[in-house]
Amino acid sequence: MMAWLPILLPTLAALLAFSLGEKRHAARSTVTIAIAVGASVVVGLLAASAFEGETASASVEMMPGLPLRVEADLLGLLFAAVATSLWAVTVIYASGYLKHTRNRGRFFGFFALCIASTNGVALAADPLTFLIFYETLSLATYPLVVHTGTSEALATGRRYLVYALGGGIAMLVATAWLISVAGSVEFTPGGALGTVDTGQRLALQSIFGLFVLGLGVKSALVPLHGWLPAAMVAPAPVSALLHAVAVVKAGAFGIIRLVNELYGPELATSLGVAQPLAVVAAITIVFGSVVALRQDDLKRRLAYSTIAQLSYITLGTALCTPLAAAGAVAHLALHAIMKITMFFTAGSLHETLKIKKVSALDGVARRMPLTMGSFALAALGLAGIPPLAGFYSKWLLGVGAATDDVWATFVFAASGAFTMGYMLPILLRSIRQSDHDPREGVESDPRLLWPILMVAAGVLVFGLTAGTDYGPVGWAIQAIAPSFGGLRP
Amino acid sequence: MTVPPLGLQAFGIDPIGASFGALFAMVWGISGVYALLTITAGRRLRFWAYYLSAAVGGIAVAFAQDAITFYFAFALMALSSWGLVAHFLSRESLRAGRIYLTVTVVSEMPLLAALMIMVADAGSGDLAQMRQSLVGGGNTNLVMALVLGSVALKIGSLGVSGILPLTYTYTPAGAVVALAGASVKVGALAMLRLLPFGTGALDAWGAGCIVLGLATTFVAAVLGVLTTHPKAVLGYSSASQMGLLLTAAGAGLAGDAAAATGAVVAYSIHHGLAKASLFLGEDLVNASTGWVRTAAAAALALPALALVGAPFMSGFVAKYALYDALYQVAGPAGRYSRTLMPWAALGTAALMARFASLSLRRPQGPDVGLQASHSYAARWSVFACSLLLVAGATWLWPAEWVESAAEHALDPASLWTAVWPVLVVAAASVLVTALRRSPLPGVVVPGDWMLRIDGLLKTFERKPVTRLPRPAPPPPRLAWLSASEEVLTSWLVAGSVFMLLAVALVLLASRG
Repeated sequence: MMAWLPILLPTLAALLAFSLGEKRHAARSTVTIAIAVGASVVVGLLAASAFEGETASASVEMMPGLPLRVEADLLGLLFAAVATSLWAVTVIYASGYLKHTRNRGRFFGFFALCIASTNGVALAADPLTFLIFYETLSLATYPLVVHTGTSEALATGRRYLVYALGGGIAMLVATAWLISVAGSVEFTPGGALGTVDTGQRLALQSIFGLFVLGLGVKSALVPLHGWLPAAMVAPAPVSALLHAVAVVKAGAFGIIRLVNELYGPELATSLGVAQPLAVVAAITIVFGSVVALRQDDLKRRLAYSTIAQLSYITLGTALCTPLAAAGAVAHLALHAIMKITMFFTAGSLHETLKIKKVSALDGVARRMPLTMGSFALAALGLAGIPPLAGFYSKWLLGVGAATDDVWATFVFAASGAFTMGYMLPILLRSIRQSDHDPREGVESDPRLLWPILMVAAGVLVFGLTAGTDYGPVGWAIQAIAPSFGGLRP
Repeated sequence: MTVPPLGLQAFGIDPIGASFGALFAMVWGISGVYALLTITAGRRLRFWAYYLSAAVGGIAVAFAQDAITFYFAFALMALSSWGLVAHFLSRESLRAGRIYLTVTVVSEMPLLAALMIMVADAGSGDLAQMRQSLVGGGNTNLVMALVLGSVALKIGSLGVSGILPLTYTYTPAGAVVALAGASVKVGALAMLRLLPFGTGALDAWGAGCIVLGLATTFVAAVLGVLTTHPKAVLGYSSASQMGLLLTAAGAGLAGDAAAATGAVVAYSIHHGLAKASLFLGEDLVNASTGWVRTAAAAALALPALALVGAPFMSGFVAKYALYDALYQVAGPAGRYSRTLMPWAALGTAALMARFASLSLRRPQGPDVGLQASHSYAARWSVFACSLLLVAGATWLWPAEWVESAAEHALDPASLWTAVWPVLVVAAASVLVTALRRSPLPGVVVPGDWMLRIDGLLKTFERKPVTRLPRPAPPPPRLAWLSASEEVLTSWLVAGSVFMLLAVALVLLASRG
């Protein structure tokens, strides 16, 4: 039963938000934040027992022979912990950001449903359960993308649905085909398909391809990335949590499960499916980075950066070496906290100063020093400057790649330089001399500022504690170790 | 699976670290005191925020014993130094800052890749173990190329020498002392930390470093003599001297480890202290008037002669350490490099003459009563301290190379080798001064071709919207990229491309 709570609690929050209506803002915020904090605590407790080796699991029969199964293992819990705890922060931010808009009840309700689905994706114990939550995530996101109701938002929403549901169909076919070939398999560290007849090579390769097609949409692999930059029309909290943390990471997380716990690193390598995936991911990294260099719209620049950074996860996973796989899992968590800092900042700049363009950022650091300082911390972390969080995932990825695929080490090292290339101009512009009127005051609404400071602190703290067992990096290493024969000192 | 330790934990003191640490601490200290006396109110917070971060990284790097700690300290120093280069926020200094930052980011990329590969090969993040596992591993040549490529950018080797004069010219005196005296020596430290000396397996790389180093020495000297600003002359001189350090590292790869390590350390200490003193003196000359100006210029002769390697000076000691290392190198690289060394001194002497001529002819500012102030006297005491260090430190340093130099100190042949370049340049300077009133015009802009990097950066940024109507601009250079992106984002194209890729993948996979 415990294992259901990370999914049920946000669902409860959604029901309450819908039933509280559009007027009672304070009550809705209080309830949502309380439940978000409670859900974070539950995930923490589950993780504590998972670290001890006791994994909670649960299942419920949907139809005879088709159970919905969840298991709170370390890998899933890391993703759930990131999504749930950042949800709590985002709710505070959103209550400040959306203070003048309508339909906030609908917004918070679907927001909570997204988190429930994300936690379902994280804790799903088998491909079918994964598929179901993956699809509900696609649907629950739609009202948030079109939240503003403008024609541009509606067009983007349609585009998003085509991408997401198209990918979903591929996933559905893949899951059904897999079940017909291998029976009802559960995710197992190191691979669940060990018993499948080797004569099924072509089928297994095709199923892998279909899974990647479905997961590649959300994890924005080129050429399936088109929806993500367009989706930046959504309000900042949506970009922050869904397009940096929950939705896109559901795709990347799916690839981690697929390679490490469904096929297993050995089978994925011997089938020859890992290498092409690695190549696509590497192309995506370079492509996203180069396009990001030329974006003047701040959120679009961040979106292309996300496209590149998500493929760090895919590439690290597809390399099938232990350290690269650990780096990929760590990057899933660390990129989330860095990118959410940046999207919060972008939203805050828009809300407070009506700035959306990089070329209009001159001197904003003098007007909003704490906000832009947080942005700088996250940007430098993303570029892999130690001792900030992003360095350690990149380090593991690069070292892991160097054991077999040195070319991938260069991709990681080079994309660090690209990241500097599209982040440094922002930082340098922001500290120019400016003519901001000091009477305008400094910083922004505290409900916007404090969440930014909280996540920025995470960038620093998670970097400094990277050497310990229970920070995101140590957690990621322990979560992936079972797929590679356990951890040796 | 096993995981090499993460986190910043491996600081330790070993002989190399102790020598470099002492040098870095002295230079950052001197530079900091001078900055305390010269940075004007209103700029102090901005200055010290960058200065102190750079100093922490720049001193800690000497004591880092593992890959992550080393990279952290290195990156902290290099990135924070941007704030020192761009300190004045003038057009030129901002441009210098942009170019410096670009070169820094580009140079850290191969370093990071090299560290990652070395850690993967060694299975450990310990620098000593990484060095040992390099030879015999499958990636030896790749790692050598990456490390040397990164260091070459850092120390302004052949082709990229302009980066040092460009950054030094616009940096305030209180910081340029540290950049020229300490920061650039981190390149030398990186070579000692990452390259395995004396293995006998890397002779070709050693010979390559010797050739590249000597070529840098001469080309940078020529560029420096032709440049226009006294601080830029010192910058080119640094590039030239760092070329000799690369030569010393080459001697380590192709010859004896102990002798070459001694040479790199001795040369770093000598050059670090001498360059620090030269930059301090240059600023004093610039700030003074009357006979005090002449006195400051005269005092500059000490570090200048030291740099040339005149007898009994710190450069004399360092040169002999370098000769010792080169004697251990077999083959033509060792032989020819020993023959060319005195000519390198000739180049240095020419640079110093050019520096003297340019700094004395720099237009004097108005007398604002600065010379009567306490802080002006304090500036002189900092300069005097640096002169003492130049005169004494290399001799008093507890190391073997001192004995070797002491043996050669009174040997007539070596005295003559050290003296004739000075005499030739002195004679030439007298001749030139007698023949023409105005100094030779400069033709090399500080930074030479590297200034063009700034234009390159601009092509990546979209042009800001201007209000005046203008004729249609030519298409941006990377238009094909945006255009292909437009095509890719349509769902139909994306889906078809992916299906094609998937089919190709299946076909590809089923063959293997």
